[in-house]
Amino acid sequence: MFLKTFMEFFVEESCGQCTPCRIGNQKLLEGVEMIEKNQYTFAHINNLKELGETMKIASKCGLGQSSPNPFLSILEDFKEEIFHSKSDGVYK
Amino acid sequence: MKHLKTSRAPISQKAFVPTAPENVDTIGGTVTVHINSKTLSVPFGTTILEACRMSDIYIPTLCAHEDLGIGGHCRLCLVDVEGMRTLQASCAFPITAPIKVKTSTISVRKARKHIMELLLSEHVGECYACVKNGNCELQTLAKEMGVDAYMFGHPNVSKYPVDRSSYSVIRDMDKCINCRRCVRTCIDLQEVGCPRSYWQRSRNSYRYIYG
Ligand code: FES
Repeated sequence: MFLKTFMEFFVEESCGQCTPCRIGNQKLLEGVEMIEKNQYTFAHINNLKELGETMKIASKCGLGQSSPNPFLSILEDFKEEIFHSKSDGVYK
Repeated sequence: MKHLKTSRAPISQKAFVPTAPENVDTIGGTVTVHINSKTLSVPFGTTILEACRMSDIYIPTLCAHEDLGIGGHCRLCLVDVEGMRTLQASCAFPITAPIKVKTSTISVRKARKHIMELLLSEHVGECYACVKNGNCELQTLAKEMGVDAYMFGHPNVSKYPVDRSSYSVIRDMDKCINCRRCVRTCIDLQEVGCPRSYWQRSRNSYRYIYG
């Protein structure tokens, strides 16, 4: 997925100083991987969205403040494509 | 803070001391701050955290320490400063102008809780099997913030071996939360700079080296 490339980039580029960016980006990447493998729960996705909002205001520098933007906006704008494309028809 | 000006630490590791513009009458004077509903006047350049401690307003902190320089890594001491787009770390925010601060809005408390959950998601092991159980800053703060579940997972498998090579320090990197107090103590107080931290890209984690 396109989003995964983004999040991998941010995990890689984070300087690791402040907590929200260092661990938050890793958690978002894990979330994207879970979506990719169809192993997510909506509760967890909602938690991650809230985490993204926190990262936006709590990070020290611009990288951490802008890194959840692609995650949040892709999940918002491409909801149907992502969550209704389950091939096996099983909703978890 | 006097020792910081004379320390031999490398420039990149020195604490940032805000330089005040010249010929301003606020130098050596006081600034008024509104914290929650209190109004107080503090010396120019005091951090928000110090101002809050002066007026008995509680702010949770993890990486800040009176004897050390400014850290600002853990982001647990976030406060809402009026007019700022993002939340600010109160331990790293010197007051140089009259500001209004709120210390427990909903977004601040939510951010603190999230950060605590993130820290716990990298903190290997159960509390009850730990020597520090019951006497642990992290545990106390987590309880205080109402963390009742590991929202972002919790590892139980040890990642690093315990280092017992030194006679004075036992180092268990599984428990490290990257507050960097050890690094800053050795630089700011001892002026040795023995433990150093560097970001290891391939593992996405900090490596600490001694020696
Ligand atoms: S105590 Fe202020 S950022 Fe850690």
